[in-house]
Order: sequence, then C-alpha cells, then structure tokens
Amino acid sequence: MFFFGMASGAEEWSDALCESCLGKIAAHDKNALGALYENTKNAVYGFALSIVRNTQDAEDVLQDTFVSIYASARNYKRMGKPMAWIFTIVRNLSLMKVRDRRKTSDVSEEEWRLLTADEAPVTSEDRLVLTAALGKISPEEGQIVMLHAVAGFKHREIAEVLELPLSTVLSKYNRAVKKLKSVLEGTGAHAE
Amino acid sequence: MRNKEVEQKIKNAVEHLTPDVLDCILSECDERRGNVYIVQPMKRKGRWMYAACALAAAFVLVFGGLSAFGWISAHQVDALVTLDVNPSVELKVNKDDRVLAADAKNEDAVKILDNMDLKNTPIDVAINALIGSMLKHGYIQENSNSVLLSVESVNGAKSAVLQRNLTESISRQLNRVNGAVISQNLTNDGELQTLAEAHQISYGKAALVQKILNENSHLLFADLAKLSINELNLLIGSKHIEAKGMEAQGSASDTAFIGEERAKQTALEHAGISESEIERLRIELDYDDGAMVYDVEFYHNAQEYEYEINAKNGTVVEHDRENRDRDDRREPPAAPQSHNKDDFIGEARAAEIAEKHSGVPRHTGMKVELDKEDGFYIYEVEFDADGKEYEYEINAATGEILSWECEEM
Repeated sequence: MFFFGMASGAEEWSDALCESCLGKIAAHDKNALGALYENTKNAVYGFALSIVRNTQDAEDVLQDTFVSIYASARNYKRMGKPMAWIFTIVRNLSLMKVRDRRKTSDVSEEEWRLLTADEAPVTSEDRLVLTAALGKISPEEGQIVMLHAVAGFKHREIAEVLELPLSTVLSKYNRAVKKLKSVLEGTGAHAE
Repeated sequence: MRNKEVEQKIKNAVEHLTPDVLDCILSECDERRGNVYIVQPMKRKGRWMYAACALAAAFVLVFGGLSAFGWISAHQVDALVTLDVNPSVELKVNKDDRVLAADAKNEDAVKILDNMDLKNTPIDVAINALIGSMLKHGYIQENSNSVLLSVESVNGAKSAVLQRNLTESISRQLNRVNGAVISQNLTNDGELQTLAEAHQISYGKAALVQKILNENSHLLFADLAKLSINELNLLIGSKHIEAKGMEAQGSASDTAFIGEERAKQTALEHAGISESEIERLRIELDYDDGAMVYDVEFYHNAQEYEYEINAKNGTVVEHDRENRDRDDRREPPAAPQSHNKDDFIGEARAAEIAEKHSGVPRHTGMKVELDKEDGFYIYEVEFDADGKEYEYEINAATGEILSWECEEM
C-alpha cells in the first residue's frame, strides 16, 4: 500500500521504529501513520476489546486512537516507551466509552454468531478463545492477558500501563491463564 | 497446554477479528485539519492481465485474419515462474517458453535484475542467469542455500514440465554450494494473492508459508513471511511437511544454527540427565517470539520435559517439566490422599522444596497457596528470580514436585 516505504516487511517492529514514526506523524506524515497503524492495530484493538468488551466499541476506540495519535503526536516525549504512551491513550478512550455506556456490555452470543457468520477469518476456535478471554476472566485479568499475548508486553510494562503493582499483575496473569487453559482444555467447570 | 499456546490462540483470534479502519482514520484526520486528502485505492494489476488483453485481441483476430495469430500467441502469458531466495523475481513466460517480462518483487531483486535484459530469452537461460547473479551477489551461499521455484499456469501439464526441467537445471547449477531447491506448482488463489501483497512477499513464498501454516496452526503468517526461504525450507524439513505439487531437492543448510545435536545436549545438560536415561526424544525446529528455536521434548522417570532452545545462540528460552500422568489425575490417585490438613507438609516446607529445586538463591514475590485440583491437594508455589518466573505444583501430602515451569518475565 502507499505507506509501505516506511515499514519494510523485513524490518522488525521496535520501540525505536515506533518513536521515529511518531516523530513523522507529528509533522503530519500520513504514511508514517499508516505504518504505525499496520504494526499496532491488533494490539490496540485487542486491548480496547478487553476493556469495552464488545466489538463495536472496540472498533470505535481503534479508530479514535489513531486519530488522537495523529492530533497529539507532537506532545509525545521521546522516552523510549512509545507503546506505553499509545496504550495509555487506548485505555483512556476505552474507559470513556465504558463510562458513556455506564456499564460494560459483554459480547452476546448473538453478536458472536453474527461475527463468525460475516467475518470469514474468524474461526470457531477464535470464537471459543475470545469468549473465554472476555467472559470467563475478570476485565482486569483480560487486559493483562491481552497486553501480554497480543502486544507482547512484559509484566513490568503492563504494571506501568495499568498502574498496578508488578506482583498484582503477575498473580492476576497466572490466575487468568490458568482459567483460560482449563476452559480451552475443556475442563471449564473446574476453573470457576 | 502451555501458557505460550494459550497466548498464541488469543493473538491469532484478535488478528482475525481486528477490522480495517485505516481509510476512516485518514479521512477523519483530514477533516480535523480542514483539508482534503484523497486516499488512493491501491490498484492491483491482475496477474493475468496480459492474458486478458490477449483474449480481447483474440476477438479482433476473428476479423483480422490469421496473420495476427502468431503475434498474439507470442505475447500471451502462458505461465508465471517465480524465483525466491531473498531476491524475488517473477517471470512471465509465453507459449514458446520465452520470457515476456521480468519483474523485481523486492529491493534485492532490483539489484539482481540490474542491467539484465531477459526479454525474449528462453526461460531456462533466464533462470540460469538469475541464479548465477544471486550466487555472485552472495544471496545463495553455504549457510543459506535454498531456492524456491514456483510455477503457475492454467495449463497443468505445462506447469509440471516447467517445474521438473527448471528444478533440474537449478539443482545442477547449485551443485557446488550443495544447494537445495523447493519447487511448487500453483493455481491462482485470490485470497492468498491479497495476503502476499499485504506482506510484500511473492505469491510463491506466500503459498509456501501457507503450506507450513496448514499443518501448524500455532504459527502466524506475518511471522513466517519474514523468514528467509532457507529458514522456511528448514521448517518444512524438520516438520516433515508434504503437500501436493511441492517437491524438495537437497537439504537446507542449518550451519547458521546450532543444529539438533547441540540443542539436544543443551537440554540434557540443563536437565542434568544423560541421554541413555531418556526416552521418546523429539526435536523439531519451530518459530516462537521472533526467533527460530528447537523444541526438544523427552521423557524421564514418568516426567515429560519440554525445552525451547534458541536455534542461533543455543540459550534455553523456556523449559518445563510435567508429570506424564498429570492429565489423568482425575482418576483417583494410586495412594488415596488424606484430606486432613494436619497431614500436609505445610506452606513453608513447600516453599523450601521449590526454592531448593530451582537453585536460585535470591528471589522475590514468593507466593504459596494450597489448592485442590480434582480432589487432590497441591501447593502452588510461585516466585520470581533473575527476571524469570517460577511456578511449582507440589503434592501437599508427600512434597513430591508434580510439575514446574520457568518462563522469562
């Protein structure tokens, strides 16, 4: 696509690349915004989904996040933690969505059915996994797991973004993964 | 199931579910800035556009007489031949096996094609020139010796003949570097074509990646797309992947890696077990967390050991051990366990057992919890040391270590 000059396929996405993207976005470089989007959309969407817990709001947050990054990239201070900055934006926008709705509306069975019918790439395993990650564990556990699994964050980085002590992140993470394992291994009843 | 696998499943699911809203984002950014930016839709040139043009011309032929026929048949794309090493070159070939056009599919290929005019050259001569140039530029060498040849044609018989002849000629040419050739025979798949374009790889490489994914659902397209043909060839060999229309000749070089033997030794040394004591050893090359790794698995004393060893530098990335019969723990334990908590070894003792086993003197965040799993009491012990997270399950009555896991934090 038109932004490919920026993120060449062979180059590994890194904090340094992300920072250089933000620098260019601050100068309203759309190609840089496209490159940032391509490399971070899954993590942004996954993290938003774990907070708002429904696909429509998560999609809104995905969109608003990058519009917001475009508008405020010049405020980003180079400290080597661009992803943490981005996730703080995602978190704030998601929490605003939740506040707007006054409560989280979980993904309904009906919604999942429609999703899997429309979106060819979503497999029945995906459906099982996401239902578990959004329904069988607490919202906070879900956020921790998403940041670890999809964004590739280390536990201490998650602690910073979520403003939680590292020990809490670790124990919640372990608890969550254990529950998810038992759901996915088909011994769900035991995990409750 | 390991933590990594759970996470991989989540990652895959999110990737599949994430909608594409870039166009909306870009137009909204412009509205906010008060100017208009037109997002140019990407024009995909049909792979068979030449063929379509020729077809249109064929209608003219009806009125234009037979003299046009020779011209059309010579300018009609009859097959697409793609060569991937890292440079990726696509050749459009006509009915007479002559090159109509040569396209560089990546930057390395631009270097290779520099000053080379392959138009109207017989396909075997063109391939020979390209391989020669790749050898000269060091793209094919001892520690990266694999070439991917992909042939696509509506004429199945023609593809098969081209595949066989070109494979033979490439193999001969690569003799001196002990080269390896994977060849495949492809049909047109629009979805795969879109994936290939999105990841900026050739259609042939995308098809090869897809063959590996078909049998390994824990891997991701985006990850494999970044690997070299040699690395993909190593994965295919190690995982014994077979697919219709795909043939492999020679073996991919693993000299850039530590090799299966050293991976095995590293795991055994770490576990403190000698080779004669283990059974059901399995070593397989895999990809995890951005790196090629050897998965080493074996059994010893009814315990299953699993290691992940970095294929390039030989460090132990991950290791864990589990009781082989753990999954059967729903069955009543052989010796019934007392439910009287006074009979248990106690949290302090459980912590001590785990500490001693881990061999790390300083740690933080020690957590011990008594848990009941399937009517069986265990102590779960967790702590962190040296940037690693340790997790133990200990039989509450006997103090036996049922499983342990150690993972980078």
